[in-house]
Amino acid sequence: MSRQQSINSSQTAASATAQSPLSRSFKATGEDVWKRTEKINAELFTLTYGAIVSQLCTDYGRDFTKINEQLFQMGYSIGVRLIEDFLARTALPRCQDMQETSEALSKCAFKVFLNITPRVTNWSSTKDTFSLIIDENPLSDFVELPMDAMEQLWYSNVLCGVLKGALEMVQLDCDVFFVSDILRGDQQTELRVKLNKVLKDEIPIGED
Amino acid sequence: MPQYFAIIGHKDNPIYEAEFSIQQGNQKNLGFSQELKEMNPFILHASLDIIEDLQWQVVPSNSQYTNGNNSDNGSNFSISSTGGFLRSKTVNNTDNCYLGKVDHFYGLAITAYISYGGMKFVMIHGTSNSGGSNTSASVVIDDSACRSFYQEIHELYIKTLMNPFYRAGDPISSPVFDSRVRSLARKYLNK
Amino acid sequence: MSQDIIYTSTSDESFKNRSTGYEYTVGPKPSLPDECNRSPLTSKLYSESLNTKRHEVSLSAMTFLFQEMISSLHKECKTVTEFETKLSNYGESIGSRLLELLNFRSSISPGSSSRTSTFLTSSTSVLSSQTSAPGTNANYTNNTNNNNGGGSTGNGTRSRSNTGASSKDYASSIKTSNRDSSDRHHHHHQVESLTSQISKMRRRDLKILDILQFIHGTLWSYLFNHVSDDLVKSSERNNEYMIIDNQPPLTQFISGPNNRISCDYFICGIIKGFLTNAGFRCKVTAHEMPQGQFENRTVYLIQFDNQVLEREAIRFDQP
Repeated sequence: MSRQQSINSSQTAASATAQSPLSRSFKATGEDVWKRTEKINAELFTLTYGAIVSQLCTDYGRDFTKINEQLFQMGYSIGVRLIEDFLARTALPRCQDMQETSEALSKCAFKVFLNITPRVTNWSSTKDTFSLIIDENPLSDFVELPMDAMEQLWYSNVLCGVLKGALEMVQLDCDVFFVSDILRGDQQTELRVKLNKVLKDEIPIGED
Repeated sequence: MPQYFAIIGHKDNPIYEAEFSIQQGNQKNLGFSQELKEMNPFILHASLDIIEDLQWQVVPSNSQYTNGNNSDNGSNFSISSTGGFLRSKTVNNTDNCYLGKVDHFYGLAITAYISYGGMKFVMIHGTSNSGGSNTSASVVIDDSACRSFYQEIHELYIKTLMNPFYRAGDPISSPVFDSRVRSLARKYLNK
Repeated sequence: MSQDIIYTSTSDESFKNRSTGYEYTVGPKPSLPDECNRSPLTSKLYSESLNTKRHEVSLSAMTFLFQEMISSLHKECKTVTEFETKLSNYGESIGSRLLELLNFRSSISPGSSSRTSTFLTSSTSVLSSQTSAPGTNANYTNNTNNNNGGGSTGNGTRSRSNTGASSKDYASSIKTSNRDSSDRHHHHHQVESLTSQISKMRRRDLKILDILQFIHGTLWSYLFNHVSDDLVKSSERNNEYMIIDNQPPLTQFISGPNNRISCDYFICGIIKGFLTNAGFRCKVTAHEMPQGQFENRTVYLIQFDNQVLEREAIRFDQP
């Protein structure tokens, strides 16, 4: 996919979803919950994450593939715990399709936890894969990757793990991965979510 | 006039160094002479004791050093409320980051600045006549420009420090940092 | 190429390469004749303003991250002491950064931004349930307001001129800041330095009490939106001070009293990193001291090295 295309599709997708009542209700829910949420300085969060990544670089001898994995793992175990907190606070009903899921992620989940709303864009024709464009990433403030990490490290990979873990808990088996990052010199930070399959309802989740 | 600038860490280790020389019209590069280039780090290090003393003075006053005798005052902790006679009047006494001129070495002047985390920013100011070591005319420091230069460097240093991949005390190897410092030198020190 | 730029102590040609920085093993690079004509290198880190953006995230996002940090440390550490030391090290790396950042931000002249006081206003409403101890706090709060007012200036249009920069710089800085506020998403804008908003740098703290008040006030407000609940000097030992938090927010969800207090070593590290880098060598430990309704009340005990006390006696004790 070319960048130009992805920008175009983002605009159409954004204008289409902005009209839908569902999207508006996600937005309202997200903003409402955020208002009632106890907050903390984003810089402390940024610095703490930075300290974790830099410690991993030391621990794993700058093996960035391993560091990516480790960050993903950390995220995964956050995600499986975080989903409960999220459902309890937003009282969202189960999403009917990936389009709803994408809106819930962008306008509720990211909003409620990180106070950002990544743009949803770049849908696959089968409507099971989309991208989140993260314009303001609180994890990566003040960060400049060292030269040797530019090609390999996905600095914010913890986010992929969080989404992976959280989605799995609501029966969505997804691949979640970064395709570009401003820190690597890319034009934008793009996180891709690809649905593999909907899992059977074995584990009861929340109030569903 | 040329300058030699360095940031010195807690273990007296340089974490950044640069030489600035300014082009004037068609004149040749007005840098330090070769001997001085090699002397600069030593001259600078010789001033560190003075800076460490000034670091803990309520009103950093360099009067006892600028009179020329700068070797054996380590135990003299007298607190003086007036600036030394070489100290420019524009030095604001309530600012204890910028120390102004702290030392001199023949015609060269040495200024210093201390960051909140104890990083020492030090600069040797050469004379316009290509920094010969036996000129007697002292360099005149423009405190206002010099202070601004140091503050801007301080800010750049903090940006460097905020990067989680930078460990405090490591040499700053970023080419961006280097180029920003040089453009600040052109802005503030090119007089 | 002029011969002057060839450096005798090395034959390294990298000097001529425009994209190299300082190299410790090589020494200072001289100015190059054409350096002022070069296009500036782009960098997100160096182009962004150090000014606070006053962004917030949810406490639960922070707590989840913190708990994950704790649980991976639990896996790799064999003893409680090892755990506490490593957690403290994380904190130290943050404390040493905040020492520079918060002092620098506090230097910004009050009134150089129109948004000066909004941060504190919003923070009191967020944590209005948090009661702070009366008495000693009253004095400090005032002090904190000043410090923090400067520290929390936003990117808004500057309302007052500065003394440092030329009027031309100032004009361009207004232009930049206008663009900042109208286009928050544009990452690579050229941001002018904060130095132009500083007429006088905040003084470096030289005395124990001064820097402890900065921690109690400005650092605590920055981290937790309120000043610490108390700052106390030990009556028994003159190198000991205590900073008290009635309800440490980060560790409130961690169960088991011994576990919880160990996790407070993150904050111990922040305090230690802040103090040691400012020249106040010390040891910081966390202690549980419940009082009344505050079951999680934590005392951060700071024990300064003797050399710090000696220096203070020599420098500042007036006969």
